[in-house]
Amino acid sequence: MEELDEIISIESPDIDVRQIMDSIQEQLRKRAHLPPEMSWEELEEWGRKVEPPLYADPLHELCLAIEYARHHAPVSAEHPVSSGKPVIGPLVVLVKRALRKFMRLYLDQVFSPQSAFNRKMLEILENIREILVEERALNDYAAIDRLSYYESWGEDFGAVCDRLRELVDLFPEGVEITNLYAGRGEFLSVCGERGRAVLGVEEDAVLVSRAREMGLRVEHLAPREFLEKTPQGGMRAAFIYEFGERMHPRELRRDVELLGEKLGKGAELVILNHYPRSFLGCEAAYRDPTILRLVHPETMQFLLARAHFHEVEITPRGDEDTGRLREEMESVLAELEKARPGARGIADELLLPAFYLVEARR
Amino acid sequence: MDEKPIAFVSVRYGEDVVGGAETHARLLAEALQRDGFPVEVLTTCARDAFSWENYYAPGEEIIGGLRVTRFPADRLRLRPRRFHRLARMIDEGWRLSRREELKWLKAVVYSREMCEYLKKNAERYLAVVFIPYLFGTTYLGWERVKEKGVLIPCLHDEPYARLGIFRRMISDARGVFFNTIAERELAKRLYGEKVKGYIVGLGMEDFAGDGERFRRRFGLEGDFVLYSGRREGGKNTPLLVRYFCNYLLHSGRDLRLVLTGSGSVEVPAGFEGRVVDLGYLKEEDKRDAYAAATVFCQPSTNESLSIVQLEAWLAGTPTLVHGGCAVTRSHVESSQGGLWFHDYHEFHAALDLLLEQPELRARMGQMGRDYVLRNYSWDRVIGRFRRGLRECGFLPGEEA
Repeated sequence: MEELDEIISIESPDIDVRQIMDSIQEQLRKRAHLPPEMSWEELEEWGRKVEPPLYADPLHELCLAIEYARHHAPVSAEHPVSSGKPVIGPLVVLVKRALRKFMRLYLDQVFSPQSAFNRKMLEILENIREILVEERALNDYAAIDRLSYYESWGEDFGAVCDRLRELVDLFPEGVEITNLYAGRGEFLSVCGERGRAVLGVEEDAVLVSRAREMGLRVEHLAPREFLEKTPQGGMRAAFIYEFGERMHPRELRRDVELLGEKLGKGAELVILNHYPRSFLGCEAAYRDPTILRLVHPETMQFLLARAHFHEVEITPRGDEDTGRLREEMESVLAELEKARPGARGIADELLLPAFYLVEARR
Repeated sequence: MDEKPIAFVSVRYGEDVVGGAETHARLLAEALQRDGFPVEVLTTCARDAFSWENYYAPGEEIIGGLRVTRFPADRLRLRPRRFHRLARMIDEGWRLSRREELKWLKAVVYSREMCEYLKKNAERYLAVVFIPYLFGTTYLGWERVKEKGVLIPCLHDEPYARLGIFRRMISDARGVFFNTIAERELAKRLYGEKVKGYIVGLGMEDFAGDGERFRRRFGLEGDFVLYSGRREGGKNTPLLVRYFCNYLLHSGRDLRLVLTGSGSVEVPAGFEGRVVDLGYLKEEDKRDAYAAATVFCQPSTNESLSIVQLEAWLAGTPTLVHGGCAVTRSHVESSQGGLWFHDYHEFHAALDLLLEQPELRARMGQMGRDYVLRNYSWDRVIGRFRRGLRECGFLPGEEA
């Protein structure tokens, strides 16, 4: 009998749900003030005061509307017949049934154009949805979703982390850093290693969800929208990787203006971008099909100065690999210079570090 | 294989019939047939559990390879005031006479022709399996076949379960097959240790849902809590919506509650964008929804198995259940596959923990999945069913 009744329990050395629930209940007992639970009526009252909800994504609203329409599209005379009247109830049901039988011949005819119209409208809505999805994909960076690119061909997460690790020290201790265009969350991850407070902001939902899966703190919002919502002087430190490389120049100008307004006096802005003068920089950047253009360091300096960043320092910055490559090329370059005086200068330019670092202060 | 067929008696039956016990009956009957048991189904012509109108034609038909015989559904015509008075008395825990209980039972639904058929043909069957306990087709049918009767009660801790007629039926039945240990404990608490109860349950087919496909199809982004099933007070969905809206206000999180299934959902003003009602979904979409969800919540306290909870685990999603439901909570305690809540503050803290710890979530989902595969695979369920029949003397003992 025991075997028959057996329900096999799953044991785990690291999870005990009873223990977790005990600790939750213990914490709740210890807390002096728990948030008040609102009744349905209180929630309704609160809800009436707020603005109507804005959908984060209009496509989402359209999808739900189509789903709703699909449920209500078929129109038919089919309807359960019943009667609550005592004694004569069964008679009423019989009469209703008989009536429905005759009426159906007429009603189905009447309803059929409406049903056909509904079907057609649904088709049209579905087409609109498909067009929107396609258009959105086309307008996505190089029609490629970034996570798929990173996972299939892109640079390894750890390699980017190595590149960004030292930059954390450029920010003063105890200040929360805002990482705009946070991507997969490499900078958030290295900040986490060092116990630094950081908030990521990223528009790409897939990247956000990947970063959140790793336990990183990311707000799912277009960075421009985030900046617009931030109060004047409300940010104390910001870091951006590949800034302006996936957007139109006018969007870059607007972002820099907003950074000028939202970073407080003395706040630190650090940017790490591909160096367009460097062959290595161009090669590294354009291997990524989601990058549209490179921003020249002088252009960046000009935009930052216009946005009232008073101290702007730009330094070329390469990975360890770049340094090693230069060393290996040294003898070749010397030979080249011997064979054709002045050639080394051009080669030097091409082998400039792949990135440039911007440190700007308000 | 045994010559005599097993009869399944279900108040409603069909691929288009929505209902937990009815689906249970169909899936188990089909699985037994696949395993070599000859199985027949006896049911009514009703499709809708509110009007009980005779929708299907009486007579025989083949559904999923099984012979299904339909009998007209009957309802004792009581004056509405009388009927509601009886229902209210049951709800409030009054003691009714046997005559009154039978009146109420017949006023809900039963089938006179099916009872007559069972009385005449009981000997044709190896066993007659009644599912669930609540309806006239079960009680009145069981009275006609008694020694041939096996019950799959799908018992809930509800006022109807305390009626004398059900007490008698469940404690006297030759065999009662429960879905979970918690359900059997409830029966023993209600009816005493005399209950001859065996755990059988329902088999679950493994599946792989595509969460990304679901998100693309319905334009959903970010974390969301999923509920799937009938949306009604009895299933505690209004409580879930209220707790969830409170949670949004107090946590400030960007989170959605997605509800699928039948019935209507009321949402407080101002929360419409956060509580998403997708209505009845196709099976594929429902499976994708399980895979896409961050957490699956089952707030119902009236469950005898909770198929949706087990399905969510098959998709690797952890579950958050009402601590007042012995069945769903015992699933969680036995599997380590989620957490439970008794009130809003526990709901808030448990949900916070699950949302903040993706690794814990993944681990819980995996353990829930292992629990379902090890306990509710068809092989195991059919094995338990067969042994249950043997223990009750319907099948000969095992050969040495």
